[in-house]
Amino acid sequence: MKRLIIPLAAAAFLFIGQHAFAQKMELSDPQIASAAVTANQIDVNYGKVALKHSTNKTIREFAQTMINDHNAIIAKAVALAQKLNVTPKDNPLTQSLLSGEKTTIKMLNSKKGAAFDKAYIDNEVAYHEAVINAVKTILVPQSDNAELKELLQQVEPLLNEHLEHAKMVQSKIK
Amino acid sequence: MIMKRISLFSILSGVCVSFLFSCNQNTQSEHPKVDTVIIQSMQFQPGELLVNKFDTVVWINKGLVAHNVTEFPDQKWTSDTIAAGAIWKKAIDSSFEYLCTIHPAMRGKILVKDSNK
Repeated sequence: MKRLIIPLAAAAFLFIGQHAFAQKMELSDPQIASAAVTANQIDVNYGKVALKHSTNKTIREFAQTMINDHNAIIAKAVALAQKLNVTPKDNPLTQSLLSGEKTTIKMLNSKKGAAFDKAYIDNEVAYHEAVINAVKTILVPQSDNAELKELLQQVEPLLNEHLEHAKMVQSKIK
Repeated sequence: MIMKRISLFSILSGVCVSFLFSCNQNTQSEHPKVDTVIIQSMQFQPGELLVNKFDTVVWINKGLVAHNVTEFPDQKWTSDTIAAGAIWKKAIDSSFEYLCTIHPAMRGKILVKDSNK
């Protein structure tokens, strides 16, 4: 029953990454840049919600790390887009992420105390799993520009570490 | 008599040169050197580094985000935050394990040669 709480943004990524739709969806580099920046910004926003609602030290430290790290990635992505003269372009993947974020933030805002902490860290585990899958199966394979592909490949270990970190926190919260 | 003195002088000179050369070699081998750990791909590379006592280890952050180097498990000391592109160095007097408290899955070891630890 508790596993039913999978945020829509994560569910969208899981669906896109694991089904035949992944092969049908073809993204250009400007669309990939948009999806990558949006995916990072969403986790920054989840972190800000956690800092607003949680008093748990472990949760707050994790949330601050997510904010700092994903903001650093956004800065790198924006700098690369400017260097390549690429303007991020809206697309169905970006839209599904934003739609999922809206639902997830509404769900998080409805919770308090320990219930919030659990919902937040469960979401972080599911979201990072989904994003890692999407980076591996969609964003990296479909990137044409070598520097964009390299940046996405550099982000993968960071996402993997965040996932391990989220699981560590999850084991303490439960 | 002169030949004996020359011979004795030659021997003493040889001994002195050998002694000085030997001292120089010892000095060079014991001189502290600088070792490097690269922070990249969310790893400390190498994960285990063998150094001589009093060497200096420099951590170079070539990653995308900030990290730190903190003694594990007691967190007896910690570096300042090492920003992306920055370095931090420490003179080593004993073996220790360490981690990045910002990213606790990142761990490393510094091992001092002939150390009991």
